[in-house]
Amino acid sequence: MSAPATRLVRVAPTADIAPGERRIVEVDGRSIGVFNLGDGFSAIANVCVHQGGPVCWGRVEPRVHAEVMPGGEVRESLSPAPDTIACPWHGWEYDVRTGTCLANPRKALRTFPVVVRDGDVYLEIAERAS
Amino acid sequence: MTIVDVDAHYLEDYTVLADYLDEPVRSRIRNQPQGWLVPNSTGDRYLSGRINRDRDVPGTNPRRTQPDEVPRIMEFLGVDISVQISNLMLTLPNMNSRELAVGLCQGYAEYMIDKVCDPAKGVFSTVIVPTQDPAKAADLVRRYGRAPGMSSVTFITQWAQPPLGDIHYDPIYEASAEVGLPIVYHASGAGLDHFLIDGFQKFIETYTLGFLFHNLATLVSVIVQGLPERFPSLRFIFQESGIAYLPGIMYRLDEAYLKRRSEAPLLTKLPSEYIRSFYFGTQPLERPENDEHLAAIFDMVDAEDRLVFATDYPHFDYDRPSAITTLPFVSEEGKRKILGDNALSVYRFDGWTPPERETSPLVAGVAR
Repeated sequence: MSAPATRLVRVAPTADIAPGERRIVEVDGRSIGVFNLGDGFSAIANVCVHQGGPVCWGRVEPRVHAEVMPGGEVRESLSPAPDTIACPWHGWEYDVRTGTCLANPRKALRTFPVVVRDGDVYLEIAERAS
Repeated sequence: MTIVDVDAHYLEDYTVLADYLDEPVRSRIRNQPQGWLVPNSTGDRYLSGRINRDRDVPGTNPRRTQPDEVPRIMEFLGVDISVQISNLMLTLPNMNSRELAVGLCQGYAEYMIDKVCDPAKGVFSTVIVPTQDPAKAADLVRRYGRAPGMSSVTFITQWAQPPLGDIHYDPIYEASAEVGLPIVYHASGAGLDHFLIDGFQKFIETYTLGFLFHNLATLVSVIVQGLPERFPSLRFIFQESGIAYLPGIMYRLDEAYLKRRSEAPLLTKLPSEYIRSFYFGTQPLERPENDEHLAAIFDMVDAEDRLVFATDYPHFDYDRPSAITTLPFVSEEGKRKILGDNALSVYRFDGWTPPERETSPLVAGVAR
């Protein structure tokens, strides 16, 4: 089987999406969030798997971790960089790179490959079967 | 299909409610800082701004509802009828002052009837009763319960003492039966951070338990004290705790009743049979990963005939109609009943007539 056909959809000049910023675009009627995470771009569907909320409008923040220290103290910490997006409707959290739901890894947002080429950011979109 | 939201919250300005009251209560309410008037609890429901409503309905103030905003909010949610319930009064039972509790409930009823309720547009409210003073609460039910726009009588269950099946509240139930309105038991966040067991560290803990505990306490009291037998014309609706807790209390109470029937001699059937005759707001509806588990609960509580859809908007755990439309095991007729027809039969929505269109367009948009 051959790989499904894809096309590149231009999002913006790379310089227009600064580190920490995002651009939300419509492609084929779908809303997609494109995020500059500083060390690269990611793109996720702007539809929360919970009740369809606009997850890409949500805050991107470091993730809360916790570990049990020798002696029993529970020490919480934040991941070093913002890596988690929370839906503004009900707070469901996702990995902003992989789309995986943090509270239930069996659920995930759809993700899209991002291509940076010649100073522009593109989404790689599968051609829809006609 | 008509979609009815039996529980959405109106974020009112209590100083405006005071305008409807006589002195000296008028000044006592208007001049109080809110934190002194109705003690609230700590714990940020909105996760320090992570959850927010700023973009939901452009041009509205998500922290203070204005009367003309309600139809636009309903359009955003995709509902045809909305029962607007005070947000401030969700902490009502925490108040010690009888006169201020009665005053707030009176001001709220007057304000909603005067400025907000609009039956033709599907905007309704409810008479909230100050449990601190059953006689005066009954007066409010008689005075406002017949007004167009008042769909029901609402008790806030958090910290109501004695529990709400007690004869202490009979004046309120008598008045409600007289005006022909159903009884809503609305669990709330009031005082959740000061749960019966002190020392929980996170809001997720007291939130999960608090609503549930107060609904359980109310269910047990209402049944064991024989309220459905003493007021056979009343209908009862329990809100704000989802539905997964119901099988547990149904069968535990049945078991106790089989051993201790002499302590509940008014009952003429099993407690679970009373529970199956009550109505339950759906929100926040649980979604186990295995749909068969939820389907079994639906079967146990006679869901298609007894659930009434509720959003609880704008609270952090609100549901949209898609919480119901996406359930794979519920028939189309069942969805129609849960989303609207059950509420239409139990609440009073005088003055509302169904629009001509067949489905709410926004529901189609979010059904996924």
